[in-house]
Amino acid sequence: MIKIEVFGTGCPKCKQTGKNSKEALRELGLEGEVKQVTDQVAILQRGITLTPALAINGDVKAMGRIPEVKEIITWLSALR
Amino acid sequence: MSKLLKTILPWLIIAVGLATVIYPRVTGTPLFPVFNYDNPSTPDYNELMDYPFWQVPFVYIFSYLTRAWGPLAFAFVLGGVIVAFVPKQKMQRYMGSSSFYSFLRAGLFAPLLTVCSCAMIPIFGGLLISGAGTGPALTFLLMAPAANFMALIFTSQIISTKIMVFRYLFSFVGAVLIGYVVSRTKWSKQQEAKYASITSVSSEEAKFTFSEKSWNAMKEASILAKLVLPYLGAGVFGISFIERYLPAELIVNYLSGTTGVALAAVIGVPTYTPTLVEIFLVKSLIVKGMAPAAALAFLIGAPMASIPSMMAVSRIVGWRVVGSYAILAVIAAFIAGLVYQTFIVTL
Repeated sequence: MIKIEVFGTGCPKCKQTGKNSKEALRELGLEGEVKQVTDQVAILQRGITLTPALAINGDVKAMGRIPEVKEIITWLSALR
Repeated sequence: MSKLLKTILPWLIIAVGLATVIYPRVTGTPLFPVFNYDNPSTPDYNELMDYPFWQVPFVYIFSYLTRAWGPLAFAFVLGGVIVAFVPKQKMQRYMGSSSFYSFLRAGLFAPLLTVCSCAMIPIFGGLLISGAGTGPALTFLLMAPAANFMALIFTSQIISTKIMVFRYLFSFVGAVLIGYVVSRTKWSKQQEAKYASITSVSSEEAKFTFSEKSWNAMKEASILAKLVLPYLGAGVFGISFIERYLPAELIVNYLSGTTGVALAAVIGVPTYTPTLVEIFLVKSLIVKGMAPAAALAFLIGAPMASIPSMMAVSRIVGWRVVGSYAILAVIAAFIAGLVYQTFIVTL
């Protein structure tokens, strides 16, 4: 199962990133969980220095911006 | 919307907004009609007192709206441009080197990186784990809210350009010195060691064309506006009652002279105001008789030592570091007010 992590403390940008991730998973018909990481220390311990940030299966794909649904789809497709 | 229009829109709004800011300073008259409840020919009397209770907030807000729509549009769209165009990761790498210059860079770049205050703490964390360490991280943390560029535009527009300039200068000097001093303490070095093993990840910076960035700037501007305006509106609504009902004698007695500077520096800590509201609050207090030096102390101390941000930072670096910089921030705000009072107010 695919694990998408959205890093951010809950501002609207982080929520939008979460929404885009869920939408991308749904469009590809993939099984996955979208987890919101909101604890500042946890975010920092992953080496993330700009939020919102997105990681797929532990690999950080975007930092400091909201990735578009189609971008997330491209990354998810590349996993197979 | 046509591609050309999408590309030009932010720049057009910035130009018009800038015109509404500059024109009155050059010619003395506003570019568009304004409504001012306060009649300039009776400078000692505040006409807001004439309005009944239920009309006060609407008169107040309308008066500000006619004067501030231009600077608001300018500030939000410029903020959007900064978010869309500034290469954040590149700047972070540049700030993160371990030389003394990183203190200066942290202070200079802070206003460019924290248009949205939510980015402040991750970037602070990033500097902490970079080669630069606690010092420049703290300088960044202190400078970002104190010299937030939207706040600077509004300080200049609503209060005075003189106060804005000194707010910026004293915040910069204060942020650099406090960052340096706190980074030399034992507990700060312990925190730095705690995070020394973490390295920051980098991700590919998305490449956009100038057109795409321009339109992104508009999207960012609307995100900012939705974030700030509701709280700003509510804040100004409440402040209208302060300006109408707070007795002037109270303000003149406590918020002028050296006592005023000290009090203003200290009450900044428990006073939490949403972005930009502190400027309107200070303006109404100045109308009531607050001394400019006290206003300056508040405008520097309050953002640097704000309790919500201190609580968030304390989870990362602990209360000793936070307590140290907070106390120094209040002292710095106090000194800034004193210097202003003694040397600058007569310029």
